[in-house]
Amino acid sequence: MQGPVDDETVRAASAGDEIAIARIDAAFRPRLEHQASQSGVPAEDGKDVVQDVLIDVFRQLRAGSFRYESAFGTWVYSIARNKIIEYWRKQGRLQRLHDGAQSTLPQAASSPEQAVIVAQALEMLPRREAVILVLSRQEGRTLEEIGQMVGLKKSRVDELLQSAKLKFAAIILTGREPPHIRPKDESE
Amino acid sequence: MSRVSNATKRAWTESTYRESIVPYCFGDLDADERAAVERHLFECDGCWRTLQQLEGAVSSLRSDRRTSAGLLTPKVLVDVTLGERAAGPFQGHFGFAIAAAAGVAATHVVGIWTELGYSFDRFGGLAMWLSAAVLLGVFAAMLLVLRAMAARPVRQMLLTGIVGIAVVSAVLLASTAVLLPHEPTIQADIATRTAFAGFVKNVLLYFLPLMVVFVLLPFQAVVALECDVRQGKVNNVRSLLVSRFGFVPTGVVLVQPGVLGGLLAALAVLGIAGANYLLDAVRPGPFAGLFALALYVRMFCWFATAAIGVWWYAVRLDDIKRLLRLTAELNAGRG
Repeated sequence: MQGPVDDETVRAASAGDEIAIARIDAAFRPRLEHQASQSGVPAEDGKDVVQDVLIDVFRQLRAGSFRYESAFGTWVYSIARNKIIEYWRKQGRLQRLHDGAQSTLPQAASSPEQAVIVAQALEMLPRREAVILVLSRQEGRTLEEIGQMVGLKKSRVDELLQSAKLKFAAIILTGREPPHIRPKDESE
Repeated sequence: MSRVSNATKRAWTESTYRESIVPYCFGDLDADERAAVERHLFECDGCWRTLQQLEGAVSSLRSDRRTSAGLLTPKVLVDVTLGERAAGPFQGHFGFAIAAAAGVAATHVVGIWTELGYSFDRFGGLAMWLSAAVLLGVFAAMLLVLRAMAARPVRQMLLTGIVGIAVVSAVLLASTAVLLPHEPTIQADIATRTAFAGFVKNVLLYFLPLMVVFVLLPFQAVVALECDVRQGKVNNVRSLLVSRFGFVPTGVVLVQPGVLGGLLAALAVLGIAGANYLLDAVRPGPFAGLFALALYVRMFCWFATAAIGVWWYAVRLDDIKRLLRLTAELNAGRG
C-alpha cells in the first residue's frame, strides 16, 4: 500500500520545510474536501473546515504530536473526523454527521466530458443491465419497481444491478469493456 | 445495505478495501464500512486514485440525465422487457405455447374416449393406441401452428393460424375416418351418431372453436401488440388498451379478455347442461361409467385450456399496459 506521503516528507514538514508542507497539503486537501462532503458539510463551509484541519495538522506536527505509531494518513483522518464532529456540534446538529455517513455522493452537475464518458460506459454495458443501473441510480426506482418494469424478480434485478455496477466501474477505470462482458444481444 | 460480508468486516485487507471502492461510490456500504473505507483513503494512494476516477462517473450517472438520454426511451425499455423474450421461440411465449398445445391435444384425446369409452370392450385397444398417436400428433401440430404464426408478419398471423388449424383438423379427421368405427358406439335413449361422426362433431363444434377463440386470438393479439410496441407505436397501443380507441393492426382481431371470460362462463353453463342431458339419456352398460368419466374429463380439459388462454391473455395485456404506463411516467419525469 503506497501512502500519500512518506515519513521523510512528514519529518521535513514537522521541521517547517515549506516544500514538504505544500506536498502534504496537496496530498490531503482533496481527501479532506471529499471527507467533509461525505460527512454532509455544505460546500460553503467545507473549505473552512478543511483549512482548519490542515492548520491543526501542521500545528500538531510542529508540536511533535505525531509519533509515527500509525500511518500519517490515519492520523490526519482522525483529526479531520474530530474537526467535523466539532463543526456539527457548533451547528447543534451532531446527528447530521451520522446521517452524513449514509449520504450519497455530491450531486454536482457533471462536465460534458464526464457525461460523454459515462454515456459511453453505459453504451458498453449489456442493454438490460444499463437500463437497470440507470433506473436504480438515476431514476431512484426500487428493485421491485424495476422488476415490474423489466419483468424480472427482485432478486434477479439485484443480481443484474450488482453486475452492472461492477462492469460500469471496470469500464470507467480501464476505459474498455471487461473481457467477461458479453455482447448486448446475449445479456441474459 | 452492506455489500461487504461479515467475514471481511472482521478482517479488512488491502484487497477488501480495493473491492469496497465500487460499493462505496454507489452508496452500498453501511456506516461502519464507509468509515473504514474513508479512513483507508487517507492511507492509500491507489484506492484514492481509483475513487477519484470512479466517483465523478458515479456522480455523473446519478445526477446527469444526459448520460442516459438514449437509454430510457420507450423503445429501448420495451426492447429490454419484450425484445429478449421475443428473440426466443414463439416470440417468447414458449410456456403458453406448450400449455395450449398440451391442453388442445389432451382435449382431442379425451374426445376419442368419449366416442369409444362406452364400447371399451370392443374398441379399447383402438382407443389406447389412437390416443397416443393423437396426443403426439395434435401436440406437435399445435406447436408448429403457433411457431408458424409467430414467424409470420403481424397481418398474416391470424390467417396463418386458422389455415394451420384447419389443415391439422382436416388431416386428423381424414386419418380417423379410416380408423374410427362407422357405427354407433354409445347406447342411449336419444339418436346417437357413429363414432367417427361423433368425433367430427367434437372437432368442429368443440375443438376448433377452442383453438381459434381461446388460443389463436389471444396469441396473435398479444404478439401483435408487443410487436407494435417494439416498433414504437406506443401511443396507439396505449390507446387500444386503455381507452380502446386506437387502430387495431391490420389482420389482427382484438377481443377484450373480459369478453372471452364472459363467453367462457356462458359456455361452461351450456357445457354442463349438455353433458347432463347426454348422461341422462345414456343407457346402462359395463363401460357407461368410463364414458361418463371421459365426458367430464373432456369438459375439464376444454375449459382448463380455454381458461389458461383467457388468463394468459389478461396477464399479458396487463403487462403491456403496465410497461407503457411506467415508460410514460419515466419520460414525463425526464421532460
